[in-house]
Amino acid sequence: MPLVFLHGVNNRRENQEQAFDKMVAVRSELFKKVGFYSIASDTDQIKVLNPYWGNLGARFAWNLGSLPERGVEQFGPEDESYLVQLSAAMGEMSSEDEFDPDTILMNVAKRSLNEAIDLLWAGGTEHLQQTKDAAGLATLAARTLDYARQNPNPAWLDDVRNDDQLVNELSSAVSTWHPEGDVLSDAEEDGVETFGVDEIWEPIRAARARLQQVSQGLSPQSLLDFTRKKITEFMGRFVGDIFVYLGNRGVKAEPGPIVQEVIKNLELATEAVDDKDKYLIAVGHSLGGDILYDVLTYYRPDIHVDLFLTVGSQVALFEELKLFHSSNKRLPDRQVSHIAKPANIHHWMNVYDLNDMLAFSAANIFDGVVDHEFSTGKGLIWSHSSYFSTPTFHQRLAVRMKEVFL
Amino acid sequence: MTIIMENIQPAQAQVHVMIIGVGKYPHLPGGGSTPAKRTLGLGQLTSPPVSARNFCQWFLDRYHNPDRSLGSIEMFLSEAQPTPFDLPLGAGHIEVASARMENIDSAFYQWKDRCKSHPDNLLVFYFCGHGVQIGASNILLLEDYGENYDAPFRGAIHFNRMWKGLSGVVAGHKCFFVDACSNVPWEGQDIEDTEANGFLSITNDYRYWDRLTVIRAAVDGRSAYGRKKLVSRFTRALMECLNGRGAIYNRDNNRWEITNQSLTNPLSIIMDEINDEEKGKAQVHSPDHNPGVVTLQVQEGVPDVPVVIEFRPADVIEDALLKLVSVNNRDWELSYPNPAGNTRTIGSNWVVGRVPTGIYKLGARFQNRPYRAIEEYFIGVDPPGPAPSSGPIILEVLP
Repeated sequence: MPLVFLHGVNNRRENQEQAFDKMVAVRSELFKKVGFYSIASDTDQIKVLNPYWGNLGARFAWNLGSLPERGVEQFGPEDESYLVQLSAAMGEMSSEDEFDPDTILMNVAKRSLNEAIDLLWAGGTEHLQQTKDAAGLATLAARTLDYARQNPNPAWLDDVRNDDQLVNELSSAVSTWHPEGDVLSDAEEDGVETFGVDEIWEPIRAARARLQQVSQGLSPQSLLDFTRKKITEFMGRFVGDIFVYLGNRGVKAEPGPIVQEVIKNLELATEAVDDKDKYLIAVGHSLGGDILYDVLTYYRPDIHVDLFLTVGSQVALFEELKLFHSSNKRLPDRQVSHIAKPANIHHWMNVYDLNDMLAFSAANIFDGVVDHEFSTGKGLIWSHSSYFSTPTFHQRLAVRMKEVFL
Repeated sequence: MTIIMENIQPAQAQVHVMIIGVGKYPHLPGGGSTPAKRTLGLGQLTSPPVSARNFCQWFLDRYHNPDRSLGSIEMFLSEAQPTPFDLPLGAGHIEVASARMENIDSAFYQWKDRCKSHPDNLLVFYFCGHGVQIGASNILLLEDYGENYDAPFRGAIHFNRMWKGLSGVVAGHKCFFVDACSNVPWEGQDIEDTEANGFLSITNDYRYWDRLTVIRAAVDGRSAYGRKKLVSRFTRALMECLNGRGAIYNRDNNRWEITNQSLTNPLSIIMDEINDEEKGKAQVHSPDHNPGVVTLQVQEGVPDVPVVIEFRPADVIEDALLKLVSVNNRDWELSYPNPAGNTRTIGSNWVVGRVPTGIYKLGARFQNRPYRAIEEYFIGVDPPGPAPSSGPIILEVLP
C-alpha cells in the first residue's frame, strides 16, 4: 500500500541529516506499525514515500539574523525535543517553580500514562542508533500503547517515586504483558529473554536520562524564554515557506520544483497500487496539505487518492483567501455554500489540535471532509510539530482507518 | 561450593570446569527484595539456569577426550525455584549452591589451583546470565547484584580482569564461554569503576596467553537471547559444535576432534541458523581471543550433520521419489517417501535429517512431472553442514 507523506513548513534536513533521517524513519514506521496497520495486507509492504522540499523552501539572507536575540542560548538543536517535552510537562506549574528533574515524567504519567508514553517516544527517536532500528521502536510504541489502553492506571504506578523507576516499571510491565483475550502460541508463551539490557528500550531510557540532564536547574520562566525565541524563528520560516511556495509553484504546463517533486512521488505511489493493497494514501502536514490539495485539484486531477489526510493544515484558510489555482473567487454564493470535495479524492479527513494555532477546520468550507480534533498535549507552541511523533496520534488514526475502510 | 563431580588424577592432564547460571536476581524488578540502586533496565531470567544445567549435563554425559579426562565440575545456579541436580548413573541428586559472590569467591581459588595442578590441564569457565558493559569492561551479574545498595557491583564478576588474571597463572589452555549481553546500559554511563570482583591481580607475565579461548555470546554493544525456560541461543550453538558439527578430522590421530579452532566457523554458521529460526533481532557472538590449539572433545565415530536439499523449481518435489545412498557405508541409504516416515519434505525442501559425514549419491525421479530424472548426484557431507557450507544444498532440476 503506497503512502505519500508531504511535510509542512520549517522542515530542514541540512546540517542535521542524521536526526532528520531518524525522525522520518520513526514516523514512517509508526504509520506502518500503528496508524495504517489495520488496512494493509502486510504492514511491511506499506510503501511510505517522503518527498522532501525543505531544500527548496525559504532562504534567509542573514540566516534569520532579524530575530531578536533573547532567552537561554545554551541548548543545542538536539535539545529541542526535550524542551517540547518540558513544555508539555509544565502543566499547572507557576513560573517561579523549579522542575524536579527526577520526577518530570512520573508526574505526567500519574496524570496520563499515554501522555508520558508520547513524551518518551518523542525523545527516543533521537537516541536510535541507526535508522533501521526505527521499526523496532514503532512496534514497541504500538505494544506500549496497547498496554496503556488496557491498563490506564496500573497499580505499580502508585509506588513509582521517580522517572527512572517509571521507565523500568513500564518496560518490565510491557515486556511481560499479554493483551486480553489473546490466545498465545507456545512460542509466544515461552517468550524471549535478553541476558542484559534489552536494546529495544535503550532509546527510551536514553530519552529519560537526557530529559533529566536538560532540565537540571531549569525553571518554567527560562523555558518560556527559549520558547519565545523558537516561536519567532518558526513563524519566520512559516511565512517564508508559504511565500516561496506560492511564488515558485508555477503553472500546469511549467510546474515549479516543489510541485514537480510532489508529482513525481504521487506517480510512484500510483504505480505501487495493486489488487492486494489497493489504497493510495496522501498525508499532508501543515503547508504539505495545502500543496497536495493544489496538486490534486490543479496540476494532476487525474491522480486518484483513496484517502487524503490533512493534519495541522491550512487548506480551508487558503481556500478562504482563494490562494489555490482551483479556487473559484465567486464561491460561496447563494446556491453553493461549500466547495465540493474534489472528485479524485475518495475520503478526506482533516485533523487539528485546538492548541495548534496554525491548524484549521475544513468542514465549514468543504463538502465531504470529516474534521477530527486531536490533542497532542503539547500546548500552544509545540502542538503544530508534534502530531506525527506522538504514538497516540497514530493509535487514534488506526481507529479512524477502520471506520473509513473496513 | 558445589562440586558436581571430582576425579582428580594429579599425574594426568585433565579438564576442570566452572559453570555459573543466574536467572534469579532478587534486587532487580520482579525479584521481591529491595531494588538495587541501579537496576539498569534488567529483570528476572529463566533461561540461564536451564542453559547452565544442560552444559553441565553435556560434560557428564558426552564429554570424551582421551587426552584430558574430566577432572572436576563445579556449578552455581540461581533460579526462582532451586531444584537439585541429578547426578549421573542414578547416584542421587545434589543441592546446587547459589550463584552469589560469597560462594563463588571461596570456590574460585580452589578451582584455579586445580587448573594449575598440571601444565596441560584445560580450564573451562562458562557463565550464563545478565551481562553489561561498563567502560571497556564486561561485567557479569550474580544473584546478589544490587544487594549492597551503595556498591551494587560487589555482586558481579569483572570478566576482563578474571580471564586476564587466570591467564597469568594457569599454564594449560583456558576456555571462557560467556553467554550474556555486552551492551552499555544508560544508567551505567557515569560509572568510572564498578568494583566488580576480578579475583586476581593482572601481571605482565604473558607466557600463558598463547593458550587462550575467549568467546562471548554478544559483541560489544549487542544482546544475547534465550527463550524462557529453554537453552539459550549461544549455548545451543556451542553444544551443537561440541556434539560434532564443530569437528575436524585429525589424520595424525585418525579421529574426529572438536578443537577451539575448529568450532569457530561452525559456531558462526549455527548461530546464523538459530537467528533465522528465532527471527527477531540477530545475535552476533564475539570470538575475542583464540591463540593455540586444544582438543575439547573427541568424537566417537563420525559426526553427523543436518542435511536439507532444496529442489528448483519448487514444484518438482511434489511427487518425487528420492533416494540418498552412502558411498562410504553400503548399509546406509534413505528413501523418500518411506514407510518409517523418518524423513520429510517441507515446501521445496527435502529435510533429510542428520546424516553421517561422508559422500552420498542422490537419485530422484519425478513421477508425473516433465522433469529429467537424476541418476547420480554426488553430495559431500562434512561438519558443520553439507559442503560447501551450511544451509540447503540447492539442486536445479532440468525439464
